[in-house]
Amino acid sequence: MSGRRTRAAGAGRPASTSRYFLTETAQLANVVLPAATWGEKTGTFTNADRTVHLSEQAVDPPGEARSDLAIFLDYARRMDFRDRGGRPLIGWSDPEGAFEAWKRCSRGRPCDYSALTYDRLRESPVQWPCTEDAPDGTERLYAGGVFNTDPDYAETYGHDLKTGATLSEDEARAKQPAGRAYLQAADYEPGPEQPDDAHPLLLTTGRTVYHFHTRTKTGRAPELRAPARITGIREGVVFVPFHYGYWDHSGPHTRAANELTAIAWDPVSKQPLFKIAAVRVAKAG
Amino acid sequence: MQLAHYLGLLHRAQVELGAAFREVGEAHADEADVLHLSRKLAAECDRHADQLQPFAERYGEDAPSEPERLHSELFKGTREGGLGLLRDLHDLYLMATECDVAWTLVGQAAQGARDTELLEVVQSCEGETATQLKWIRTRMKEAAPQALVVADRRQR
Repeated sequence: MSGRRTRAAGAGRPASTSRYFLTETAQLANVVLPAATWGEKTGTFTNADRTVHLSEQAVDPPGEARSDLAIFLDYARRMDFRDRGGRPLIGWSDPEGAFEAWKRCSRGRPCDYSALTYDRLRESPVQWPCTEDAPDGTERLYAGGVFNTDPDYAETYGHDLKTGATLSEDEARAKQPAGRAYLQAADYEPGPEQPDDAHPLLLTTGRTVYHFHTRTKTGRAPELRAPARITGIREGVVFVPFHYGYWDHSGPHTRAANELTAIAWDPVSKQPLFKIAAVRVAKAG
Repeated sequence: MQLAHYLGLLHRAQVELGAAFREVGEAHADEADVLHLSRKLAAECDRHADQLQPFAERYGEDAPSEPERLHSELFKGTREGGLGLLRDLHDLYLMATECDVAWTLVGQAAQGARDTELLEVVQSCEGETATQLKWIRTRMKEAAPQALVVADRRQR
């Protein structure tokens, strides 16, 4: 979790957090629970293309670290959460039990996992929806040209793209979508920071070749100290590779690219605007 | 013709809503989405006011006393904390509602007066005011459980 989120959370300090190393968020918490990372716990994960994978535990977590699930289950047990019938609220005790409960939860919904099993996933990954009718999953969604826009099936009705305002069920019904897709247009909006006399260059951030995408622990500072290279970049633009945080470093925060960009995010997707800022470049003296 | 009164009222309501958006955004700058959207929506209000200006002049701006009283009732400055944000957004909502209703009435008058230019302005702006209302409502719904149910230590 990034440093900027940490500051956003600062007003309502998190009571506890579970991490597999001491992040900037964890440093603000009252209670930190050491957690297992992948390879130290069993569970499924799902890619952006709906592919469900089973990731089995290969080694024990170090020290007192436990899986997130074990931490949550222990918490539920200690809080003595009960259902309406007076039985324990959580009826499962391991990852596969939790997966079975999720399957029941997802049945009949767009991300239907109901016919998936750990045994099936040991053969190969599967794309949801995976149902009795499609036991090997579904490669292509909306193949019949029918989308999940029917107000009787949808649970949310979309957003205004400029503000993120939620649209209402009545508005969705008025469009009579009947399974048709919507294409929403929005006018171009300039980013919150535009170059001016004081900050004449436009900064963008990104990944370089061979740039692994973890080590994302960043914060925010008004300036960044790094060697500058003059290359064939577009005029007026500065590029900084992102993801240089402080995992190995406790001094002043002067090197993470995301410290230079505005604290802002897209109102619908909540993607942070790490890609654009107005900057100036000066020789470090 | 009484249209001038309503044009004046709407013009002032837009100017005041724009100023209030800016004030609320700055007061809650630690909520980055509120800051950025408030600035954006304030600029939208300013543009609405600018577009109304020539019509207000043409119909002879002759504003009644209501807008002054309205301002003092709906917005007396910002507040702090989670509950403060909710109350500030609630104020903005009431102010935007004032604009929303006024757009409808000015639109009706523009049709009655056969003023197609004014009608075009109404049609290009009223949807934006409606969207502002939707956003404020969405953001209040998001803030309400935390602000109303979870104790805010700073306010004890």
